[in-house]
Amino acid sequence: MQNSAVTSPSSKIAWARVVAGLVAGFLLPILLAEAYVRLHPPEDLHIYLGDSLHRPGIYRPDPVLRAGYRSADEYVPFEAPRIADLRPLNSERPTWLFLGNSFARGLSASVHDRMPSHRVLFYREAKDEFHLRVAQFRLLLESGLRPDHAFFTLIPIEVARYVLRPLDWVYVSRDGALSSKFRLPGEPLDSLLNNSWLARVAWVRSRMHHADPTFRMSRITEVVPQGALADFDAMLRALADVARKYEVPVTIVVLPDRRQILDQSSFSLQEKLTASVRRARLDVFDPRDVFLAHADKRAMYLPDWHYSPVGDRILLDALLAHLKKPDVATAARRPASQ
Amino acid sequence: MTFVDSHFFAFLPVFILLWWLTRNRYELRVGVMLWSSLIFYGYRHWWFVPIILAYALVDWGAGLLIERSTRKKLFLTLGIGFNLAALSFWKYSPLLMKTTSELFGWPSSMSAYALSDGWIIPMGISFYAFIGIAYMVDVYRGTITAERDLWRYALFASFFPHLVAGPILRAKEFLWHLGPDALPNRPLAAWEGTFLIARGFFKKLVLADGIAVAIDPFFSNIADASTAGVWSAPYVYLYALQIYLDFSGYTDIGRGLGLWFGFRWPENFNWPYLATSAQDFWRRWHMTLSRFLRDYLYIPLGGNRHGLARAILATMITMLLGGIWHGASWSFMIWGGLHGAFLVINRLWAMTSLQARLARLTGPSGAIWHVVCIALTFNAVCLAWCFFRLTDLSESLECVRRAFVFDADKMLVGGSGDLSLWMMLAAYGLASAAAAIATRGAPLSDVGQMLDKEHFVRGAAWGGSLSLLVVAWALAPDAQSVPFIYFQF
Repeated sequence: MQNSAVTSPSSKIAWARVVAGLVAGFLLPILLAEAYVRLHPPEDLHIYLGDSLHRPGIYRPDPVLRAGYRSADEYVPFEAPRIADLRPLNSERPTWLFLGNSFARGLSASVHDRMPSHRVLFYREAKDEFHLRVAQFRLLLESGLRPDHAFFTLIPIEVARYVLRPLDWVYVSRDGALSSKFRLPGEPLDSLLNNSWLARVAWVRSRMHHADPTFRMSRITEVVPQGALADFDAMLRALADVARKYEVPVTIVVLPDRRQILDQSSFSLQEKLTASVRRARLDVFDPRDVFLAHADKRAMYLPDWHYSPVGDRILLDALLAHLKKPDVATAARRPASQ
Repeated sequence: MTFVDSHFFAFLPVFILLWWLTRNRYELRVGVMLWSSLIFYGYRHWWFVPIILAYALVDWGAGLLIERSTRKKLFLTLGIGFNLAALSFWKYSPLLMKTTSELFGWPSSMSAYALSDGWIIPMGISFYAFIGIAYMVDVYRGTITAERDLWRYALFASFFPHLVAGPILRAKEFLWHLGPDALPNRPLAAWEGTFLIARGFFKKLVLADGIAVAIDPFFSNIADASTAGVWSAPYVYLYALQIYLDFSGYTDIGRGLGLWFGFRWPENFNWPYLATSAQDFWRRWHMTLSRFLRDYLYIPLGGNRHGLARAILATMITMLLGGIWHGASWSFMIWGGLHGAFLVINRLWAMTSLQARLARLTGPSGAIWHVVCIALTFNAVCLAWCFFRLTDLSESLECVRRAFVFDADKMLVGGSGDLSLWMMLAAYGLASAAAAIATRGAPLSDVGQMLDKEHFVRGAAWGGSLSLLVVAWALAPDAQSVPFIYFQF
């Protein structure tokens, strides 16, 4: 390399050619990748593209939940396979509605097996976030569904989501698609991130776009940022308003994660969440004591951290006992007018 | 630690700095290379380190005893026995415990532990066991002399670029270059190394991991109603590409790092899916393993020297053992058995006059026959991949069945219908083909030398390599969640 530079007629020209080649060689793959991302924006980037990307959606802006559903007519075909089980909306049998992730599904399955006299509905929308869950609940009630009791499960990781992407980052694009703001690092990178989708993919996938990139999910049970708690206060108040308007008793089931039970780590999150639920004047069920009291704690879990059949049974027993408590039973009873 | 672990990007610059600072101090440099490799290896699980050191000690000692003793065969047997026994312990204990637990009613917690996440196989254990076996056999055969220095041997077995997934090196390819007069002081081919590293990361992070995201849900739910009627063929084709890109990506990074530190190691892949027969496939796929199996298993079993029946037997035993080496599962054995059967069929077919006539075809008919051979070989290899990807036998068979029985309206349902993924793969394939045509199929080492003649092209080659690294990082789906496939073997 040195020899050729020295022996060429003009080493300056030679180096200029090397530099020109370097720049051209560097830019070509970058430009091709940018074109590729523009042509086929990766799915995980969609919500960060806002109005730059045409994506038809079924959402409308909501002052509290940030996103709600425009109408049941649009919602039903969009979510048809998921809500097929909800038809007919009402039944002669007592109806319990479960909203949440796979833990709510497990709990609803236990109720289904143990209480054949009840009609058990589990509902989980594709977007697995608490504010949308509240919006779905509102829409289902607006559409005529009248469950005798509604249960929302909450696990620690669902709270952590609001540390990474606060509620006020959520917005609805002109086309009605869910969108989110993201953290910008400051100029000159802001311009790059605002203009290059490739750079934005890298930013998002390196998880630097989170509100707090240093936050570790595993710490959510110990350190609960105030912002996330404030978001939950707002969402729970909105949920309580809906529940009162349609007179549907609601219980928030605040589940511990496996680490909290097996390692007996902090329950700071549950303390704060239950306080938040009570402030919203909703019923809250925190089963940590029955889990902690169980002799064989490992037997309650599957390797993937879900509950084993033993864990499901213990949870349901505890929930049924909780519902029998006089204050809860009174709150949960349907008003005579219904 | 792995090459896609974020800590590796802190480890590597520190290593390069130490490597450079010790350039004129042989002993110190060997120490830096060895201890850095041990840190790399034991970063997540410190107890891996005594295991690899025990291997190094036994293999080094056995090498010396084989060379000096009159009872060479005894020490060779003991050395190989240790390597295989330790390898078998880590790889097959879970299956053994499960079976004995089922047969004799031993405590179920024993088998539960063995089959749980708690049982961790030291990564890359097969690779350094194979290196050790090859070394001892070569000393026994007298093709190399035994290494006198334990630490040099330990470095040979454990140097981090090749440590966990090969290439499987022989003494003359690496150990001989670690001597005081041979240890390189500077990169052997800086651009070539950089390009290989960039290409490796691109293959791994963008292509292989991109495919993983698209196909893993299908394979995870192949026994569920959720995938009923879905055509498995495109998923299997994508898996074939994933395992190639993942493994060859790792090898590219390893070989590139080797070049940075002055070592040239053998290729492990040579366009394997363009193979025109099963035999050709094994000349192009995981070439250093094929070489190992041929020289240290197939030939000692008799190879081609004792007639057709013995050769077929040797082929089947070699491939069945090659299959079971991948893991304690019937599926892996069937995978090896299928490849053994393909090789036997290939051998018998090669003896027919029809094959000879077809092989002599030229012009368009010759080209068509060539393409037919490639397509047949590729599909046979893909059929076998079903047993490799799905270690539950019933799932593997379901995967094969779904290649032929499926709903017409579900041909490209789910990840296999991801147009952007196919486009990316097509673009990479076209770029690779264009590069091969432009360089007239010259080896990358020759391309590197050609670049020195053209200033602009040289700059463009460097710029392109660096850019490829940036693009790989930018488009990586979620690098931390998809480990290299071959680390488990």
